[in-house]
Amino acid sequence: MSTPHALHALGVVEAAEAVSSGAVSAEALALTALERLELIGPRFNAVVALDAERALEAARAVDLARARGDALGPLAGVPLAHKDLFYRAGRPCAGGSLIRRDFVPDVTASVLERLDAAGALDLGRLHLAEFALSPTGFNAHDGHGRNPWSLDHCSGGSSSGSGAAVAARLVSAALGSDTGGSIRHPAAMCGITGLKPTHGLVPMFGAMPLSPSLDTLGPLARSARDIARLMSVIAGPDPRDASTVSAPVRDYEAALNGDLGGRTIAVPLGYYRDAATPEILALLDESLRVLREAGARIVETRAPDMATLNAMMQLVMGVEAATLHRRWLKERPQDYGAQVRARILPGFSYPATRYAEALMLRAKLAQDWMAHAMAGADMVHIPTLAVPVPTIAETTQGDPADVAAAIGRVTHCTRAINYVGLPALSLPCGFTGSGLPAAFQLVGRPFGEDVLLQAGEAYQRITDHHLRIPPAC
Amino acid sequence: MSEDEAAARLHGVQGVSVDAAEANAAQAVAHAAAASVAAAADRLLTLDETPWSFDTLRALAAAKGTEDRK
Repeated sequence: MSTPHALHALGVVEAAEAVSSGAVSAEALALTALERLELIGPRFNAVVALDAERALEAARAVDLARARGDALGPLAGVPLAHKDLFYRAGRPCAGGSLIRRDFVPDVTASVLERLDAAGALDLGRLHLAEFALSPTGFNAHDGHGRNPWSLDHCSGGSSSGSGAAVAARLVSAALGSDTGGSIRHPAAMCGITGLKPTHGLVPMFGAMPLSPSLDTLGPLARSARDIARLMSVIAGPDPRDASTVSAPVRDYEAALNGDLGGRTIAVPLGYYRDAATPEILALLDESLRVLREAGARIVETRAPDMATLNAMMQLVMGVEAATLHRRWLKERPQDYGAQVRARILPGFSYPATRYAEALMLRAKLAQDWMAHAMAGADMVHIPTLAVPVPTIAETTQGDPADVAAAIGRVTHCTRAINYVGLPALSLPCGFTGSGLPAAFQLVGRPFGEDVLLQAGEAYQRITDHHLRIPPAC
Repeated sequence: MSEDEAAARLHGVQGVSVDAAEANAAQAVAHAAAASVAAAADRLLTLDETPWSFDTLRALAAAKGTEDRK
């Protein structure tokens, strides 16, 4: 059996094909990834704990299955690791918190079960913000997630370890969760691809909740093609998560034909682009040029009243997070970081009628957002992050008002998308003057992930931003 | 409501202890968001259109997507 020179360079689809063809063993992939997670992972504070024994056992099982001539799953031998909020029975899951440091679930998340069944390897648990409540990767207990492109810069959060580990080629892909941008922030800041699916497409069972009305689970990977492979495995109805009852099952890879002829992409003027710095705007415009080159028609629209949507999202998340955390805030208040407490506490002060209004208006406002921003197009093109990646110091030190403003700029383009429940694919589109990645997101119709992935993959056929590897990796 | 009253109210209703400054900051954030939601509800909320509509919208979208791909 010949072994590729750099096993860590293999993405999801490449790794699965290499294992299936016998070009490489699953065990070799697992050993390579485990070594890199152990040696390189700590530089970015990306790893919580490895699960080497179980992962190697799973890898050997894949290799044995191949040797027997058994049919292999679509993710056979692919090395993955995930943000530490996915439950696996018998394995600790701390959720980035002090409070759950010793929590050992007795169930396994539906998404992990699906990945296991597809042959994927789960190498361990990755860093995240405390209780998934920071868009920058801040964690008062575990330290800040660090960006593989620059250790002084934010990794993005809350799926900080997932973003850093994929960007640094420690694993082929990772799962994250997204309540206000927690998949898209680290994807954008670390220069990789991330998909926040339609609310209710990927089952939440066995994942630590933050705000069930807004929570979604999805992949961070190197390319849209890799994400399509992962989505074909993890998406679809689950009787243990009622919100997925109507979720359609699709073959997302089948849509990847590189041709955007007949597709229309809307670019809403106003709220999103007005917040973008000149260098980010230039990178956004270049990405539109590429999408046009791939066959898409670009049309200008206008963003609706975003202040209202942002308030709705803030209120729903605040109330639901406060509800879930009330007992611990009563009994163990000292075990919460100050930044997390400050984000949860407003949730106790909203009248019940405001919460009900925010939920009851959700469909109307989602339709309104689509009517204005999308206006009949297939998808919307907006920045993921309208400003350059902030430094850790900018988001943790100095005048509290400045810190709050810096954090607010991170979620400017992402948070309302969770309230309207739409899918959003973040794609890297170049680098700013500081050498950090920039990204845009394509926002689609409900369950329009196949269209977004088609566009993302077409874009990545022409560009190579997603193939860039941080110099120290 | 004074800062001390805000903290006492939070403790009385929710059982959560906070200092006066924390209570005041939380109230300020909540007040602004709640006012924005209330204003939207005054404008948009109707008796018959809104209950459970998000779940319905999602189900319709899923059904339509399936139909489009047949």
